[in-house]
Amino acid sequence: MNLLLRLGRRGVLFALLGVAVLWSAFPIVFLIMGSFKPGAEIWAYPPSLAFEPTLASYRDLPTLAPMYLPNLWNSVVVTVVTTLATLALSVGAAFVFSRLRAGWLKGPALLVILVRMFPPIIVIIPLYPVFANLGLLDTLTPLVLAGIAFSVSISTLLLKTFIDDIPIELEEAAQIDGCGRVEAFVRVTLPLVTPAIGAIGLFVAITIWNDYLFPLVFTSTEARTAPVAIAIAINNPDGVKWGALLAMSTIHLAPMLALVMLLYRQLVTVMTVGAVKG
Amino acid sequence: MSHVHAKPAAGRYRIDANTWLAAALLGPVAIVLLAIIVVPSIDLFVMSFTDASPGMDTEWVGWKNYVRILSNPDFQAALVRNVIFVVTVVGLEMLIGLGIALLLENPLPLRGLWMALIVAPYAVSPIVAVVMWKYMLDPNFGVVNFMMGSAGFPTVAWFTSAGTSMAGIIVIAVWKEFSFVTIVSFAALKAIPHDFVEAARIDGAGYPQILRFIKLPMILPALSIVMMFRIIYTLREFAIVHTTTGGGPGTSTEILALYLYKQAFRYLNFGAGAATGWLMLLATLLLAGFLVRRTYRGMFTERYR
Repeated sequence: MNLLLRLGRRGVLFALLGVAVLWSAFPIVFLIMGSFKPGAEIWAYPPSLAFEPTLASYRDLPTLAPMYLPNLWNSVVVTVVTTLATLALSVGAAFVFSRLRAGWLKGPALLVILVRMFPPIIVIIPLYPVFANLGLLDTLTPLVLAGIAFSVSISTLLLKTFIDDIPIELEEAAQIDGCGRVEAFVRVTLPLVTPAIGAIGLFVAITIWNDYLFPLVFTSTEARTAPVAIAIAINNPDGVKWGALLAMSTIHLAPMLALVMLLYRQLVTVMTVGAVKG
Repeated sequence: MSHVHAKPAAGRYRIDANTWLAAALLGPVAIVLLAIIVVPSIDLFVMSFTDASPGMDTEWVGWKNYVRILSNPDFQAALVRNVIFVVTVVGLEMLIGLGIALLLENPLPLRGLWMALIVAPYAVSPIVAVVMWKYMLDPNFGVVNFMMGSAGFPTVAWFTSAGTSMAGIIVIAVWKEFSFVTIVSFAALKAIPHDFVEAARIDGAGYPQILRFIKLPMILPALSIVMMFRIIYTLREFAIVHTTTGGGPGTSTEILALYLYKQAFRYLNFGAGAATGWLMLLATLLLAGFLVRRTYRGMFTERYR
């Protein structure tokens, strides 16, 4: 009886887990499958789960959405440049907040903590005329600058908590051996927090890669990024070309999905630290 | 704590090599934050008291923008909708997120795989999430209506009427972000000492009692923090609504961020947009006060004093 009860509870547990995984993963799987369906199958009713996969939607992409690959390339450039710049700035700032001591540091610390909360949408109105006057609209520069500004504080705060966990005594030992202050940090502590830097980099890259607001406002054609191109395609007044749309979405989704699947453990740590400690 | 850098207190702001080092490393960060966030926010504040519009002469109008938007039925409706949106989305995220964390807490084969699949929506751009759900929620051929119909439920004409459009947007928003709640709840649950649960079980407590009197109270601090973050971030939602309905049908799904965007970039009424923006920032800072103070304190451990 007891055994039956336990088996029953186990059954309920797995059933509920199945529902949870279906809820989180099915939309992604169904989208990816849709992008490999032949045109007639995309809207088959009842919806088809078994079909002859084809690359037709991907092959048609250059004719149906000729600007998508350049747009995607813009996304790649903005994401890579912004993430690397954010990480570089954060390493320096996190070093200061974790390792140097001075009363005046309270000011910059408060600035960093406070601006993390600011909604990005409030800066688009005042920045739009500024970027217009500088001739920077429809270039990648505003995207990189705004991306750095809205990522660097959270990235610094996260990185600081990881550096705090490394005993400063290790650096002090290196300093006794003749290393300078910065050299000791770079040689001893930095290698130990490299995995954390990678995870924080992924965290920042996801935000930039998926951003919609800044490219929507600050770009029009030349510097357009993939999310804006997808948003335009889904609201096409001449009717949505679903095959192309699903292929565009799958291409945009794939790199970050792959990275999150590979590095989910590190990402989870960063997200937890961000909420609980940061 | 003994510390090499605990120098004799010869003046708090003595300028030494470390000052230059700190200034050199923080300088670029401060410049970016001031130029892109702080100065524009002040600019926005000033603008909210003017009738600014691109290419036009700007005049000071005092509180007129605030009076006008606060007494405007469209703004009031957007505000109410925003509150309903935040309460519903965050409420559902907390329920679903915590529920899934309680499932994952059990000993499971392949737990890593399940966790990765549950975190997956976090990787998806809000725009691609909209594509997915529009594909699945199509009123005629969508897989969701097919499943609902097969299970004997009435089908729903998503994104055509006011109520069901908002419901669809809420589903997308919850799907996109619930895993953040799962992750933090899961970590908090794992941090509960095993002895506590074991002792309660020996005393005869069943799962509901253990959940009610041990687990939930112990993860409450983490849950409140994650809820505050979710409220602050849901409050500014823009991308999902802008691409799903653009605020429609009519203005039935228009929320504050969309109202701001339309005022500024459709009607070129920067003053009204700026006033909306400042009200959003004010609400955010009031809600974030606790989180900011908490992080600020955490920055200054005993080594700072």
